[in-house]
Amino acid sequence: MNSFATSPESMLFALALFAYLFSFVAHVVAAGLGRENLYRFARLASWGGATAGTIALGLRWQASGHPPLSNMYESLVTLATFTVWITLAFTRSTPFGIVEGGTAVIAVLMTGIASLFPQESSPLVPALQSYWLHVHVAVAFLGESCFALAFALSYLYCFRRLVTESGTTGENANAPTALERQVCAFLVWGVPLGFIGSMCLLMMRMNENPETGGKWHTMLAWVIGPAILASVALVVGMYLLRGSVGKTTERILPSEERLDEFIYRAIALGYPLYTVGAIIFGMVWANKAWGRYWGWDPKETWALITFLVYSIYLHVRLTKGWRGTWTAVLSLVGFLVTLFTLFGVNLLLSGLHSYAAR
Amino acid sequence: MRTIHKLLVSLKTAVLLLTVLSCLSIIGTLIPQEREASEIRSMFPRFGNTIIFLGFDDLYHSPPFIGALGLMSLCTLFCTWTRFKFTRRRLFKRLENVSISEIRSFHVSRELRGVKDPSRFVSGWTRRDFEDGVSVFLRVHGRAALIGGLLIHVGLLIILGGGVYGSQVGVETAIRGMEGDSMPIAPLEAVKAAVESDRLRRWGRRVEVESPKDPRLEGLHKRIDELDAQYRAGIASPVFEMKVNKLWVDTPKTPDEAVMVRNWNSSVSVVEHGRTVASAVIRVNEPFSWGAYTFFQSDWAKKYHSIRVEIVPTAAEAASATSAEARVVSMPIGRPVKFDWCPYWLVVLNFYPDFKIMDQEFVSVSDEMRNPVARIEGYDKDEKPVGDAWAFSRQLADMGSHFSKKPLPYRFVVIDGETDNETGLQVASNPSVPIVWLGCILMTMGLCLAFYVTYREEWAVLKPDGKMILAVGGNRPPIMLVPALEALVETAMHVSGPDGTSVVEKEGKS
Repeated sequence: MNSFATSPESMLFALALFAYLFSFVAHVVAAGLGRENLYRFARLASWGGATAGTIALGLRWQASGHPPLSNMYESLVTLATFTVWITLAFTRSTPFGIVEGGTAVIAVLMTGIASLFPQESSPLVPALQSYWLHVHVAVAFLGESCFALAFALSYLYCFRRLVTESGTTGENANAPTALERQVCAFLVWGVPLGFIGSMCLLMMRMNENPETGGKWHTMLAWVIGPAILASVALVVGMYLLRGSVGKTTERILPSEERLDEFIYRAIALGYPLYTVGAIIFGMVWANKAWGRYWGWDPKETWALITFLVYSIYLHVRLTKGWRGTWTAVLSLVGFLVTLFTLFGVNLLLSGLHSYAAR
Repeated sequence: MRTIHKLLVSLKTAVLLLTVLSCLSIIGTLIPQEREASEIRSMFPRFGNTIIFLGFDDLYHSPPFIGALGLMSLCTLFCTWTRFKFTRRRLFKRLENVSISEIRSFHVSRELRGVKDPSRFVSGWTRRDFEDGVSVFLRVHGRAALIGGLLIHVGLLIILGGGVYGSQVGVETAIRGMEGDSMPIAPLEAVKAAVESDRLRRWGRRVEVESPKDPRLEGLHKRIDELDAQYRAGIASPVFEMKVNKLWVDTPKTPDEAVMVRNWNSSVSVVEHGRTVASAVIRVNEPFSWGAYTFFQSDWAKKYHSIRVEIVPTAAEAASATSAEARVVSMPIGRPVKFDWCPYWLVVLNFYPDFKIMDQEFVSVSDEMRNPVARIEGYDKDEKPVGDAWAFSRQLADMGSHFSKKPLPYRFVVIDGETDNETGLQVASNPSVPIVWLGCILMTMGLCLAFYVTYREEWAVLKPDGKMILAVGGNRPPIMLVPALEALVETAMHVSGPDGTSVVEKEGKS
């Protein structure tokens, strides 16, 4: 590690990482045991982590002279911090331990992945030297943080649907159909497995690159390890609670209706932020920098696809009155598309936004 | 007609079109766009022809995409009209259109009995009396939220309309120049002709590959020639000239001594009829507008005009030559040069400052002198080739002998190069931009109103038997409306007076 790793900023990021990790474990234990005071500790850890992350971002901004939004490392740590803040604000009046723990895991994974990318703060490339960098990226990240929260909620919704007792006709009229159950099972097991698989592939690819080859242990310790641990914990928990998974889930998770409403509220908060920040501000900046507001660059196109997916969600929910599994699935798909727009496009497709892949 | 209208305002159609547009957009990011047909075929040997047939190599201008986008616009237009009628009713005729059963169906409602003085409670609310003695009262908060959805759709339509208008009247092109160059800027019509000619030429090449004797080709070539002539005429009598005065790069050093480009600067002057009428420095994010055009700093290149090379005679040559010493000389790129000590004319044919080898060919990676290679040929006094040599950096100098077919009796090492800067300016004229911004502003306002402003309808139904139904509706999930209902119930009980004997029946659905 270079000298950067021992800077106050790095230590604060590391502190934030441990705080998120502690928060996750404490939230799960608090929910499992129904301990209110432990929940408060967990929430305090999230607050602490988010504060440490914010101070670190401020120090980085001060040192580099530009907002920490210019490369993959900065994007990921900023997004992780925003996600925790959004969750804290969202659950301010409605305690929701498991989802707070869920977003803490997302923050841990984002910070872990961030550490794989070069951490040095370098001067901005000419294209990024504009005040639009602040508003375009920061507002879009706020929207994406809301989508991350909606993702965590949707995952929990699918989990809840998966373990809901079928019941006899009339006893549980809201019981999931066989198709719903299969889709939920696919997502509940597929999302972590897909994540672990893609991270393993990324690790193999990074190993081939002499610049990043030495970072496989970081990947293993802070990304793949926690993801495997969380998945194993899920399997073990379900095994130990076999026969009463449904009842335990009912105890620690809010009702399906409330989860569904929370998902909608998170998306309704994030959708305008994302549309204005990522698309409209992006158009204004593109017009100023490149002479055209839209050029079908891969990043622009994927931002549009993200907008379209969430537009579908809002249309079917608000106009058609869809509720439940299928809107939760749309929300999950929406966040996966968001992730691809954010990182997949940078790493896999070349275009005018290629500088973001550093 | 009614079926078509029904289809266009249907949510299923909208969702289907949104899905189709998303899928097509994904395809557009996976297939390289606006490449030659041959290139697409070599990239996708199995599906190349299908891709070209469907127009997916220029997907965003292809019939499937334009068709889906057109249908989407039509759907949005019809939905906006329907939404407009609905919003107008909601805004101005809400009370007239309500029914008791609608209020009863609200998710957040409660029935009260024995409210002593209900008229005090609903004082200031709008009122409607039904024939059976039932009175309905309404109080609305956040009425502006109602127009949010309408504004989003109107904004979207304006953006789409602006885009279509821009594609018809706007032009985008690029100019390149070095210090001292004057670049003629043709009138808009001429530039449009060039853009159209380019489009037709690409389409023509595709048609030619599919069917070389296609009867449309003759007319097409004629049209292309006309458009080219129009462009040439425009260049011959430009509206103004853009003169490049000075080009420079700001390169501050980072703390670790790395050189980083802060900005590329193009100092330019506008020359009209031989007279300088304006000057500006164009940088990235700092465009310059003149006449109908706006100029953007979009590209920058280093043009190597000569390289410094160390030339060392090989052992055999050294034995016969007068001197075996190494010489460092400057060699212009592309022009032959003769040195006194060398019996041949030498010419640098190719030079890449930073190369890599792909498919057994040298490919340029960047303009920086990181890993140079130059191909040098030698000619005798009769201009007959006598040999060639490959010059690399000192670290790779020994590689030269592997690539030469007929080696010259010298070993060449590239030391450095002399460059001129070349600026690339994007030239754009798009009168539709203000229209698009108007759409964006409306859409932003609509999003803020629809999602961040709480619209709440508070209903009170007063029945002749003294029962009162209180209900709350709006654009928030029921759970968020419950506190408003609780507050209403509280107030209703409070205003009924201290001697009131209100009985609250908790039979609401909240």
